Amino acid sequence: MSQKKEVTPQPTSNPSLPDDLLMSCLARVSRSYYRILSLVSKSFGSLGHTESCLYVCLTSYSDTHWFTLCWKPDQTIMTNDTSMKKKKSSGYYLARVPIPHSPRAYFPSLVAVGSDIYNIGSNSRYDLTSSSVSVMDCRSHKWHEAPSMRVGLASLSASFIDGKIYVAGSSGIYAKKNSFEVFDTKTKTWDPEPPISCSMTECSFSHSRSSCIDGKFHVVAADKNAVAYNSKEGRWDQVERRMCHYMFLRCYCEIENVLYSAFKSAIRWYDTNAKEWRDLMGLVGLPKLPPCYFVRLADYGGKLAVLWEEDIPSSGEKMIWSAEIMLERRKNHIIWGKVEWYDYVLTVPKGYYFVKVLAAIV
Amino acid sequence: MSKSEKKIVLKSLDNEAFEVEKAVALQSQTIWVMCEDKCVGNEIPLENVTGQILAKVIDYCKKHAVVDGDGDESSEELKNWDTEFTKNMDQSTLFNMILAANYLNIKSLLNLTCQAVADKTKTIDEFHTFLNIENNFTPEEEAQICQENLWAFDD
Repeated sequence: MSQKKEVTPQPTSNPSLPDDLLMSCLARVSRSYYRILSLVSKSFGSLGHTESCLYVCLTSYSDTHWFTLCWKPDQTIMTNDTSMKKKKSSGYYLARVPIPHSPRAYFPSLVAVGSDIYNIGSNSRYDLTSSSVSVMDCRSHKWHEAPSMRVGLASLSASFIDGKIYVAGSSGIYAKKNSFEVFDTKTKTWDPEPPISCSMTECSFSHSRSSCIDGKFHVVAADKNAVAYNSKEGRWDQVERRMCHYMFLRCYCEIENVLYSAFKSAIRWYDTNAKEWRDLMGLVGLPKLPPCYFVRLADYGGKLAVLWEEDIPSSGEKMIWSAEIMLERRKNHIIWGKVEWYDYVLTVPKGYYFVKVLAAIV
Repeated sequence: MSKSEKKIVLKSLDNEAFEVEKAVALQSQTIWVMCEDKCVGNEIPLENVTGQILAKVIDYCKKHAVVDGDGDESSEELKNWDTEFTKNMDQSTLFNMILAANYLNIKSLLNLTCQAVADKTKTIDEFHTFLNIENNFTPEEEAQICQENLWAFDD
């Protein structure tokens, strides 16, 4: 494959398509082929079509690793790779994103905004403060720095809503103090005078989790107290504790304004009207999920992506599994999940752990 | 309306004439506009389409036309017919069909043929040769990207 392939000259009877029609064809190529498309020509980095692309962040002792979900067609795409096995039933796999030296990342500090993935408070150890912000452009797969926060935060949780990234954090290591920062992703600036934060007694932002539901920035504290910031009215409201019940760990995500959780091996969603967690129905064929430490959920263009890990006994490795679930609201109280496919998508050393799964629009 | 008014003659680039029902031909926005403008008689010259391709386009339009209660094909059947229609077309025919559908402005046919090209193009080599796209990676870059990917296939 190291030899550049010569482009075979086309016979004269073969018409070539003008660019706009060629693009019409390429735009119909399934998103799973994007990995292949990226190998076809450099200029495809700037193709006009956009679709959700799933990114998986894993961490090992000293490194942060990024992978992206791809699909392999029946044919082998690396023509001279004889070691390649026959395709798996689904053809999906995680491919390593060719990006060296990614900054350290934590679950609550990664936020996808369009084609960018923000890592807020990057380059820090978990117990040190940091104000720096790194951004991965998923079109070019390169990290660059965004403006730093006004203050360094020891622990934080960030979510995106209405063009802004809200960051709830704790600014001291010993003398903890709540801090609230707002980043405008259009102007690329931090609000110099962010709205007032809520008090520590209401909800400590230290080691908190956040999500955006009903247009409000929700923060859940380690003690499961929760508050929500209403940006239109500029105030913090108390949130019922029941909602936080399954949101605290790292196995939740929001999809189209609904909060999903894979706590205790069951996928549930929070019914904000009834203020109750309900089981996601359907899920025919989905294997039993491990405890939520080993599961991640993500909004995959309106579908639910579920990723989980499974140890391979006495091998020093583990398998990463993935499922794509179509969500359908049937009645007010029922959301039906149809498993479109699930398969194992990657093998990694045991020392790799999930950080987060998120979808960028590429 | 007399019978002759319901018919229309399409003339290809290579002077092949096809007499078709008006309802069939009017699926082409281009022909529809020509007829609306009354700038043509009953014979419409199509300067960009060969007879061979025009025959296929007309086949498609006949299948998809809703003519006097004759349009009771189920959508499932139509879909299967569409699949069969493009299945055995070679690249040259498909490209010519795309060009014709674009020129004649038949949206559904353009969709179908573009999708067929997308579906037939699966490997890197096919993207290069089939779509005639230049590979502008240096051998080093290509080798590196392949290397990055190789292990992902290595189960």
